[in-house]
Amino acid sequence: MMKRFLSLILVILLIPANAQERVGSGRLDVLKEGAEDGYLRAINVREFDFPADHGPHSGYRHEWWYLTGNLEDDNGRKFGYELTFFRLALSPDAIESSSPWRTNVAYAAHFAVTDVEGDDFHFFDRYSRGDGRLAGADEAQVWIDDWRLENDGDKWIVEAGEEDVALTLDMTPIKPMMFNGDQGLSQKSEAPGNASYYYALTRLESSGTLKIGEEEFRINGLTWLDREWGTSALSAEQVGWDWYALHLSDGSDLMFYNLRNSDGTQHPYSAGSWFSSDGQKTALDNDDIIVEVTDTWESPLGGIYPSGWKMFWRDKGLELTVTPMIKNQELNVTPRYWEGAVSVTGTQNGAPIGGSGYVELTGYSN
Amino acid sequence: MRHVIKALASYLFRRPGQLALAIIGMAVGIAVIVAVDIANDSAKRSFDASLTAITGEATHQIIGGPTGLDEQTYIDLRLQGFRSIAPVVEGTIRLENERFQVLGIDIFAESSFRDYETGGSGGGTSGGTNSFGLLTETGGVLMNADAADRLGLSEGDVIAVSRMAKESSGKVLAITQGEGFERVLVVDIATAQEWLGLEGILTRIDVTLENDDDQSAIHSFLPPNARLLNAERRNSSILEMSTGFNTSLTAMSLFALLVGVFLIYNCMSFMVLQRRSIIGVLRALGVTRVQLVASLLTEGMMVAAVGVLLGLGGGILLGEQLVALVSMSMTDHYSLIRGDDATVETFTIVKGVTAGVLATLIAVAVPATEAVSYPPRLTLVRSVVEESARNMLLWLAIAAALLILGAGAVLTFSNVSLFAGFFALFLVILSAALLAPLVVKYMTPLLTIIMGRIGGLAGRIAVRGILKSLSRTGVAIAALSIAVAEIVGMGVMIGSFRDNVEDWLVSSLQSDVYVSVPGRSGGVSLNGINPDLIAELTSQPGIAGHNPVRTVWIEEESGSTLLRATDLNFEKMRGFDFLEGNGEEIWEPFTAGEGVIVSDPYAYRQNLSKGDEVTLPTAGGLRDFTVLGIYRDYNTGSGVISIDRDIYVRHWHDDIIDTMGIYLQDGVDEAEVIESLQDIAAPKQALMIGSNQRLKEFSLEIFDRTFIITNVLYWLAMIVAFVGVLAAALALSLERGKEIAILRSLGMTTKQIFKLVVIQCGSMGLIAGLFALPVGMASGWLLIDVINRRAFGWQIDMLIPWDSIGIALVISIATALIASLYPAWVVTRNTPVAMLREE
Amino acid sequence: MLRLLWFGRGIFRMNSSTKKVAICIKNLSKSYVEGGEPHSILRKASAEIYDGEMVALLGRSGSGKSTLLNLISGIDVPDDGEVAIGDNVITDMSEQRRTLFRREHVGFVYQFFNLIPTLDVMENLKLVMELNSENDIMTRCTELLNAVGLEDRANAYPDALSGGEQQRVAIARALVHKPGVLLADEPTGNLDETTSDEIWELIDRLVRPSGGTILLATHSLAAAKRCDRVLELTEGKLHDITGALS
Repeated sequence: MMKRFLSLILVILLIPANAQERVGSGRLDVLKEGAEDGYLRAINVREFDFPADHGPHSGYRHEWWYLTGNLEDDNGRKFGYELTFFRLALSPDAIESSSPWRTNVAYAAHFAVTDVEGDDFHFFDRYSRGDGRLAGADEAQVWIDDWRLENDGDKWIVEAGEEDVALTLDMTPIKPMMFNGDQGLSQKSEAPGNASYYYALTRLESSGTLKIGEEEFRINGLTWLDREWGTSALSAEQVGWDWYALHLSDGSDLMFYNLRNSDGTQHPYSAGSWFSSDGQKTALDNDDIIVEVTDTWESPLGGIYPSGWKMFWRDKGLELTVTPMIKNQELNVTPRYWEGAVSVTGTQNGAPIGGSGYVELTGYSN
Repeated sequence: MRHVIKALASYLFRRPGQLALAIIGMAVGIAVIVAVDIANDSAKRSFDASLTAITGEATHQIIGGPTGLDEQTYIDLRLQGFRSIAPVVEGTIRLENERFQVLGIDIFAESSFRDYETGGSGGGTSGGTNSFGLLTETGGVLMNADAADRLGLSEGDVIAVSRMAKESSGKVLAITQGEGFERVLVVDIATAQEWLGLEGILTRIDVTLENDDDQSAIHSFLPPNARLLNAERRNSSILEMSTGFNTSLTAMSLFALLVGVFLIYNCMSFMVLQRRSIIGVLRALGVTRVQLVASLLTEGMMVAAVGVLLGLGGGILLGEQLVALVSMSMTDHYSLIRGDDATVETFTIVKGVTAGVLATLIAVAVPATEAVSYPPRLTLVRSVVEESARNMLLWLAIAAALLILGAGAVLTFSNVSLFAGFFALFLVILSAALLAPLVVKYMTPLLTIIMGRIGGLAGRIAVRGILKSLSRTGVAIAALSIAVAEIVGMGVMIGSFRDNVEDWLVSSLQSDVYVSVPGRSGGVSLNGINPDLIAELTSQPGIAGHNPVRTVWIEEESGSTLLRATDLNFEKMRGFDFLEGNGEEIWEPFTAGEGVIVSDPYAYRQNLSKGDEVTLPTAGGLRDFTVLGIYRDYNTGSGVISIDRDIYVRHWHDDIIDTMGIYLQDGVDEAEVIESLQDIAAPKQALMIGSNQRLKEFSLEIFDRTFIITNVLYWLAMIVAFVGVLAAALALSLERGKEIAILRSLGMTTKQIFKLVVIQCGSMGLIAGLFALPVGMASGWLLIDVINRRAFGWQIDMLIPWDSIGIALVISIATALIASLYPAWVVTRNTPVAMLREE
Repeated sequence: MLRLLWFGRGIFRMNSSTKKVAICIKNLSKSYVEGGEPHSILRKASAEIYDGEMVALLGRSGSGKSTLLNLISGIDVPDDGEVAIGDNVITDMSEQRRTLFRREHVGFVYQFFNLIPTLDVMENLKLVMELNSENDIMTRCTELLNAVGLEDRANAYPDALSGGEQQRVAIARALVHKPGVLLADEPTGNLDETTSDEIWELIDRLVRPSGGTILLATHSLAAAKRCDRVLELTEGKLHDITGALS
């Protein structure tokens, strides 16, 4: 998803920490034309090849493994989590060196846990050189230090922990892969190559343990994995986006992103996918889904975020109310953004429908 | 009061020369105090700042063995989830003929450790891009603005660095402002490994630990050759070691303080003494004692204010020059000192001002109180002043004796405190200063005879004048004595030191030819002589044998220790001068690997004697070794441990040879062998191959460079003394203008008068010089046996360097003679007529 | 005996029947610059003083008496004119020679005594003897201290003596090396009347009968009357006023 660009840009802002503020103005440069010279571009529809495509695509500038999931323990206590790994190539080609530390790749990761009952939100971020030891990826895994996502072809494993929060999950996909856009080529703006390769495992049945402080919970739930790589850019008028990934109770999944222009309008390349319970994909255009903001939340750190939505998909007769499980699910990283677990209620053609999912909101923190 | 002050002050203003001299005397005295302090502080501070900046926030450091730390240790810790750790690859490198510390870091692990503070560079490149550059730009450097200015480099410039004859190129990515990085090139860890030839190796891992639990947790994951050391303790040991080097400077500053204070006292007290007749008149007119003393103090303080200001300014300027010198000699030993930045500590200013103000207070208050304590009529009487000055001799002697007793007590009851050593030195010098007038008294009868021979009547009058004007001459002689004693003391210390080092070099450098890898300068080095090349070199004709040596640093919280693995099968223990243990008895167990021998400084510092155990970190963990003997060694103040090579290889898993001593067969031409070895090595590896003689010379060169600053301070001390004697001589001559006029009217020729003034000053120089000899010897002894021993652990046999003693004596007299020329010229140029009419 | 004692080294072999010129002053001029203005002290002053004469030099304060004495003794040099003592023309001599001549042939007594404060009484006397490389210094000095009645103060420092005592030491010092000419500049000018009388008495007793040449600057008429001749310094010139006084 293009939406995750902003998070990726964190990598650029890594260090020195005290230089971040100044550098912040430079992040768009990285994503503008010119910065892509020498990298591969997502121009044509490609033949995906697994498990190789679970691994990194080194000719492209950026890539991510993006996990969000809604979990609950045996007593029905609800949790949400986000674990993302970003790969960013700092130069198109690898650099010759006698030192194993030398690399042209950087990795970043975010890990967040939402404790709904405790009305608590934990988040962490990590950065590392992608030297293949401290951080790296191959077809079976991606990791930074001791945060990792592994797969052995069938099963996926998540391990992440920091301070007093730790999560381990075993995950099994229960739906086939969804290839977004045109057979997995997701066009972001008019210019050829301003696109990415984008597939998702929308439903991974997940079970494992979550430790928060002294408490340990046995948890089950659904995880959504997005995989995307490319070299393309944002356009100048895009200031942020609202992104929704919802598991609906009828077994279907809805993904939609709303690219916001600086004038407040919705960018025409906003789009999404609907993935039926039997694995049929319907591509959604900019005007297929209408979103109304029903509530807002003001961050104590500044910025007013939408915090409650109504979504309408007229063709399907779908009317959804999307509500954050807790208000404050803002990650105070650089740049600051909101990404949180949401619950879904609503009707489809008059029949009740529910669900849960994740929403990402960027470009509100100023 | 206004008129009282005016009456007193206008006297001064009518003698602007004298007033100027008092101010100059004060200024020079303070300038030297301040300058030496600045030089000292700046070197220390800049070293400390670098150390602190480089250590950053780390509370602990994981240190490996002499061959460094396998970087896998770090990766394992990371993968285990240890977060607040950062890898470091450090070493030194040459850039445009300056030595820089290369600090290789992983910028992703850094943020919580160090702050380079990227300066606002404006322009096209942002800091973010530059940070990337560290990763993507091979040889990318964050360079401190200070260094960049010095080398004329700016962002984007390409630089060439070299290490051990290996050239690499780099690029300035950004200019940073962080304090302490003036001599540091911050690079990516990959660049550091490439430049330093340390691929796969970390020199340390920085760790921030919050509690003991973390500590034991991390401990359990460390391989046996890695140790977790407290960073603060380690730094303070390093700092202590490196600034122990400044001992001679500290000693100098002590001398400077005393000489300065005496100079100030000399000038200021004279201003009061000279006006005792005016004081008498004012007293007679009804000005109270308190009023008079207050007026004199006010006036003294005003003069002092001008002198102090000038002195501070001059001292800061001079200090800046000295800093460059100090850092020049220190960079031989440590690369972290920046060259050109003088730090002026508040304490320095306070010290300078206090010295000026206190010395002025005492210098004015003592004679002023005394002058006003007599009935008005007596105040006019000069002989009373001198009489009381002579009466004070007994008290001065008692005070001096007490000070010496105090010094003895300080030395006895302080065990190893360096500060106490300096304090004792201070007491001894002070007591010497107090004894100066007494010495004058007892030396004048003999001198009168000698000078009578040389200068006839003028000579006798001159010498008698010194004793008769003891209140002035005493202080001047004390100041000169201290300055000369400083020369003698430092001369004794450095001379003995150098002599001992020379002897040691002769006895310890037993091989005929030395082959070594270039640029070994501490830290982790994996650079050794190619084993094939060793075989080839040592099989050359004319070579009788060789001794392979590996020299590494053992890092401990208590500092760094040199560990020398050596194979003594060939030359046995010839090169060691054992202070404890017998070479013949040590030989067997040493080669059998039953123990180690340690250098004297190491034994002193660790409080070891023969038979004790030392615990050393080997590749397999900590291990005890028996101390078989203690030998003399001046290699490094931190000490050296020598171990049999086989044992070293077994316990440290390191078979690198970085130095090789080669023994030639009898009658083989050394130069020829060296040339042929050089020819063989040249195409294969950059090696330094030189004769025993060359190595000795080189070692002594470094030794001498270390003491350049000392030489400069010598002359500085002499300048202070010179101004002191000049002030005293001029004051004496001016004051005795009338006497000289009478002498002339009685028929003394100008030549005789000239002779009189010159002999008088020369005699003062002679007295000061002669008196300075025992004082200087005593100081030298303290410097050698107390201060050097306590600072470095070095045991130095004291030697009396007659040449420098002779020079000191000559300098003392010459200084005084030169100082006399101007006043001599002044008094002979004036006609005596006016003086004769005055009362 | 007395004559021998004081003026053993006369300028001339004395023959009382012939009047020899001991001090000859010819057209002597001297001016000082004071406050930027030249101040003329002597204007072509001329006089002759004969051997064995005691001559008083009268004049008001600032008339130039001291200057004249300094010029005669060679301590100071004139702008113009000539001074001769005996056959020796002082004004033609180098500084060095003037000094050597002075210390051998001239004794000087000052108004302010001008003893050397760092030397005691005996040392003050010895100094002059030593300057002239005389032998038998102790004997000679003791002799003179006895003569001025200060033998018990030999080791006192000048500032411990009264004015009269100091002047007596000064006189002893002026005579200790047996000069041919004694110059005295207001020798009693700084002393009270009684003490002055003592000093005059001393001069009368010791010096007067000896026949040496004495030039005595004073503003005291009473003192002048004790002399053989009186010269007055007015307007920079010397006038013999011996007749006018008697």
